[in-house]
Amino acid sequence: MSQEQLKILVVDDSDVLRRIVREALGVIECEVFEASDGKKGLLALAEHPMDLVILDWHMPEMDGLEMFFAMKEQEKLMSIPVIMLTAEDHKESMLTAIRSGVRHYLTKPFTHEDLLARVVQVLRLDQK
Amino acid sequence: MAKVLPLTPHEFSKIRDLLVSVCGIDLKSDQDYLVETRLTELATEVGASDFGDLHRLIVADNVLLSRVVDLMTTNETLWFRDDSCWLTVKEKFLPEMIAQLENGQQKIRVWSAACSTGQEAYSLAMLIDEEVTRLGKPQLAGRFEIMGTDISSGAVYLAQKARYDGFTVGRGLSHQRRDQYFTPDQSSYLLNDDIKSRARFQQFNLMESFASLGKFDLVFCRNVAIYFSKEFKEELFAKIADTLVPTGRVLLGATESLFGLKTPFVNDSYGNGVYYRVGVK
Repeated sequence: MSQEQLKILVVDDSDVLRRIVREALGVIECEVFEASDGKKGLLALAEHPMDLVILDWHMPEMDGLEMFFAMKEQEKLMSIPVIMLTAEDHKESMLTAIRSGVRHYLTKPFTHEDLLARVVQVLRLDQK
Repeated sequence: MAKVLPLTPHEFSKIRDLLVSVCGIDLKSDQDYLVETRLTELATEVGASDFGDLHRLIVADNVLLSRVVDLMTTNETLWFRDDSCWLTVKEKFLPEMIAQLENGQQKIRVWSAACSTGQEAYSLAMLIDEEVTRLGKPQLAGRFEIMGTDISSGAVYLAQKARYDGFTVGRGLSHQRRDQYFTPDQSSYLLNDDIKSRARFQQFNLMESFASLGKFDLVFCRNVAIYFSKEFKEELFAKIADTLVPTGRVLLGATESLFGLKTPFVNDSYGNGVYYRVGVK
């Protein structure tokens, strides 16, 4: 996996948030794809193989956790790492997501440094 | 990969005790979810079947322990954070350091002890550049050695890249400095090589011995000790005192102080800025 080929999908119903995350991810020179809900997120995953998904929780149509569970049901998608980036900060919700296999759980507001440090770690960019 | 079993109260108690005794991270009794949400990924990666297993592995492996500390703490920084601190550096420390260099000291060494993604170290490099240029002594810039360390290998990777998004570059940095020291590249800003080359970064755990780091004229230890217990803070500042040259100073975050801690330091001030130096023994 060369760094130039990294593909990251950002799924969030907020245009502003997607833009902010896209801008933050520009630092690691990856290709960023966007979707505004879980259904569109799954469509994007069907079209492009992704290295990482950054996923909001509360969205119309299909929420983030539903999308995550749908990914887990598809062999092609089940191993793609997911970082949840959400305003949902209830302890039970965080535990549900992590116990289901979400790799990192970050709550909004978030710092770009924290998000990027986790992305770097999940993609093991710091070990290359 | 096998799933890690949910954290039990007993396992939380063991990990909580370990974190406070070994790294000084003091979790409250209702923060069990933080351990589970932040450490499950690591537990999975190292093949721990449950958190008791992870606890055993952490106890036996310092590298793993440092990753735990990284995951339990937050990366946040900005350019020229706290005006009073940087005014002290500019008006008090740099003129003295420049005089020391002119009087024959070979170099001035500065340590950014929890550098996150590099903003503090690079802010200093910019300020030095501005001051030596203003004084017509640009050749002195190369005699400042700036070292940044952080426990997060991800943060160190980003510091070394010296590439920042528009939002991050705007946090504390004037447009003038942005335009002077950065080159826009798509939606990011690349720090110019000249400033980038003046700081070096390495992953480092503040729990380790500082002996390999050498001596410093100035240490920035800002907004990092807030996570630690009183005992660990005292140990940390005792080790920092040992890394300082006799005239060395320490800068803390604007809302931090050593009040109530047993340390070798006494405080001093310049304007609204407070700094610390080792008191007479």
